[in-house]
Amino acid sequence: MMKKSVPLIISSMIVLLLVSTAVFAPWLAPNDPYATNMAMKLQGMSAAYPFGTDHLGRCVLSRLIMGARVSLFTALGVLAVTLVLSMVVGVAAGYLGGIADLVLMRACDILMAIPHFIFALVIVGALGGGVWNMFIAIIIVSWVGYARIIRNMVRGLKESTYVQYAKMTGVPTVKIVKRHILPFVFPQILLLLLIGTGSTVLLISELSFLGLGVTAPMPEWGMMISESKMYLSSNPMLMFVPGAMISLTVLIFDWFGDTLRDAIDPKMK
Amino acid sequence: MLEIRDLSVFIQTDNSEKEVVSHVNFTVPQGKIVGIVGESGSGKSMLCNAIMQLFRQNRRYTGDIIYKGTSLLAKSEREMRHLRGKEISLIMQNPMAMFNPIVKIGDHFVETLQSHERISKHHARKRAAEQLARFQLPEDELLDRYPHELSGGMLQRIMIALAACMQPNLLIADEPTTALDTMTQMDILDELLHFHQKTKTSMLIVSHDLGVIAKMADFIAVMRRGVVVEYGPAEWVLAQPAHSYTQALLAARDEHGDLEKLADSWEGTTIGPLYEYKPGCWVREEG
Amino acid sequence: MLAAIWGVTLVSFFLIRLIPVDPVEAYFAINNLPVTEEAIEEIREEQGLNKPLLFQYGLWLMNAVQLDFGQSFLTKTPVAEELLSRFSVTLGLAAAAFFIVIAISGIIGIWSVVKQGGLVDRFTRALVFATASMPSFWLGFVLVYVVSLKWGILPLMGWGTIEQSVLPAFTLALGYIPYYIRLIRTSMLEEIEKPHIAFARARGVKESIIIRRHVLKGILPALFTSLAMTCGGLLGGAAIIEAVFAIPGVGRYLVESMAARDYAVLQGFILIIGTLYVIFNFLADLLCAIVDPRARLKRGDI
Repeated sequence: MMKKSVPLIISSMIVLLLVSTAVFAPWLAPNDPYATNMAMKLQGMSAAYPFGTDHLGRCVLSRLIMGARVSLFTALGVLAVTLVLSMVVGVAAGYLGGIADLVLMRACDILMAIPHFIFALVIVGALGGGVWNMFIAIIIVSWVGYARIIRNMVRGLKESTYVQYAKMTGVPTVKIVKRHILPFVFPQILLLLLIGTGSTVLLISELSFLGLGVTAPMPEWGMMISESKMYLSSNPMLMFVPGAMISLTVLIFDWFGDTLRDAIDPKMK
Repeated sequence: MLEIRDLSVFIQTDNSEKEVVSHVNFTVPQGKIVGIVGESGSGKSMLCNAIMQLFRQNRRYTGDIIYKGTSLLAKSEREMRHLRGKEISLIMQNPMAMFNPIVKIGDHFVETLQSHERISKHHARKRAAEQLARFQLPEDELLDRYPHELSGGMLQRIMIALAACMQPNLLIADEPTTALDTMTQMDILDELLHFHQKTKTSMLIVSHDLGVIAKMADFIAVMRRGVVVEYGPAEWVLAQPAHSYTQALLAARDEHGDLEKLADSWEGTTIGPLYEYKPGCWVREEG
Repeated sequence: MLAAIWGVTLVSFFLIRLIPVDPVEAYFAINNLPVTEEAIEEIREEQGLNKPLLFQYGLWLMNAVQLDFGQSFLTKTPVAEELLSRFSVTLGLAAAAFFIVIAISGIIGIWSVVKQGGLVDRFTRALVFATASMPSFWLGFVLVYVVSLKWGILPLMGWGTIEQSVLPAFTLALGYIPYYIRLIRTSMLEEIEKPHIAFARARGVKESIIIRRHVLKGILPALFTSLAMTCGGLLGGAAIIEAVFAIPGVGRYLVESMAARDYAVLQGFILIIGTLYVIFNFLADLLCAIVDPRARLKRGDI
């Protein structure tokens, strides 16, 4: 047991580091991420600007650190809302059936008909860009899948003998759900959502890259890459660094999810 | 013709090794049927796979298997492939799982024939049809059928026809009647006997069912936990069993007792040395 | 299948309408046009937006069946023409990537099984982890930087020649290759463990026949199902790759139309993508049924 938890401890430390970077971003950034300085544009590495400056003379490192905020806060926000939404609908659909079940299954049918990325793209397109609309679009495409998993889990649990017994002895529904269903479903869904956080971060950067997510001048990694397009030959660092940050973040979350899963249930693969 | 010499088989897993067959000796004489009887887990199937040299990559052997004067253990995988199916054929238990569900019956024949001789697909199909007819199977219907469309008994008979299609010198049947209903079991056994009488093919039949072995075998080996406890001519072993485990098996058969229960409850020893108590009759000494 | 496509038409039409923004007003606001009652009414009349919703849907569906997706707000040209001509570019890119995925992962996957390479397994496992975390657009830029700018081997950007399509198609494919190597490898190894393979070996069947007829054929159904999903993913991914390589495909058109809130384009686009997606899945089912006779019993739901 001890041996197994070592990678988990390391990976959660790194996740914690990442999250605290995002939380304390305004204090960690060496320069103002929004301050433009045309005299200092496209500079290389220096003491004042560790990663140089972009085409508007803004500090790249500061923008990277602030960018962590946008990506992580949005991704964690998506996680929280998706968790609540999918739990409520999934449990209702699985336990009560009826209209909730019908709505959920139809929603699944709709989402199954179109690739997720395109779906998110179209929703953002129709709503207009911006962090909020991107946030909403990502939630719309992601909650249904989790809700369906929960629904199926709850359906299985409902048939179990102890729930049947509790029902027969007249325990109120709310109590059954609270005592027998939620404690079982919750950790598993949280785990799945954590594993999926990496791909949410990726989705955010993709939408922002296309100019449909975060709007300028807010710093965001995907958008920083998009902005660096014109300077690829002269300043490739502008493109390398934010991409490396995205990859690193996704990798860290994937790894964290993996170690967490191994620690909780080594059989779940 | 086939001689098993002091053979032990070890199954290798990632970091350990388990002995499943221990110091087994017996021979299959030309044109005779040898039966091996024993409870499940006694190492009978392992022995069959060892003779066929299947699953080589995670097995270790000591002793030797001599076929027509040469060691099978020393043969390369390539040489073994040429022997398998052509000189030595294997009929396996659970026919439902042994045919590839997405490959037609006829193609199972064709690929076997084409692996051993140069033959066109057309001719191979014709040979397959003849072979099925030889076993009183409706060849026109069967060739283009898929395995899941057929019953277990039918598949088992096709498997025999398939194993026999290259006229092998030795036919090994590993639990040929398990998982079939009683009537079909009798049919299959009659089929095998009929085939044997016609072709004089040597056979090694393995079963947990003493009735099957008694019906078929000229010689009987009784196995218990990877060890042969008794070996001799069928009439001797059946009439005057020397080892107490054999005696218990026979008693259980006469009383229609449960073999698995017996296998679990029998507490005699199998570690004594094997000695020939009468020419051709071997038994383990019991302390 | 027809039911599914009908579902797609419902989604493409109503999804846009469910969004609580009046498309016409948004269109005016975005494009800085003077908002007057007459101007708005004119567009509404032109687009048929003043009729009941269900009537609009019926009309739109009737036209869509004849490949008429209405008029663009922006250019007043028929959407279908524009969309379809650009779609052919995107489809070409996705198809090229698709074949790269199959070719490369097929060769490496099969090779790793036949040669029993534990090394390949560890390598691809690391590669899956790495490529799954890399944004494809970034990977595209990195490749452009290394291959085009540093080595000068392939053209920088654009579309039309074979050389120009190599980098984009490869970038798009790269994310899927490690996944498919692993899929092919693990499902082949799983297939090899099955008892009927042991029986084939016991019959002395040649190893090449075993691999081809039994193992490879056995993994096809799982492969087809995955590939159908991947087709959809590739089309979505192509939209991003087009932005990287300045390819005049549907992705760029879509982003431009979105910026202008040109919702007739959006509707047509979802309809095409959704229909393609349904067709891909249907084809996958069909191919599975051809390979696996047991799947045929379930056929008949067209």
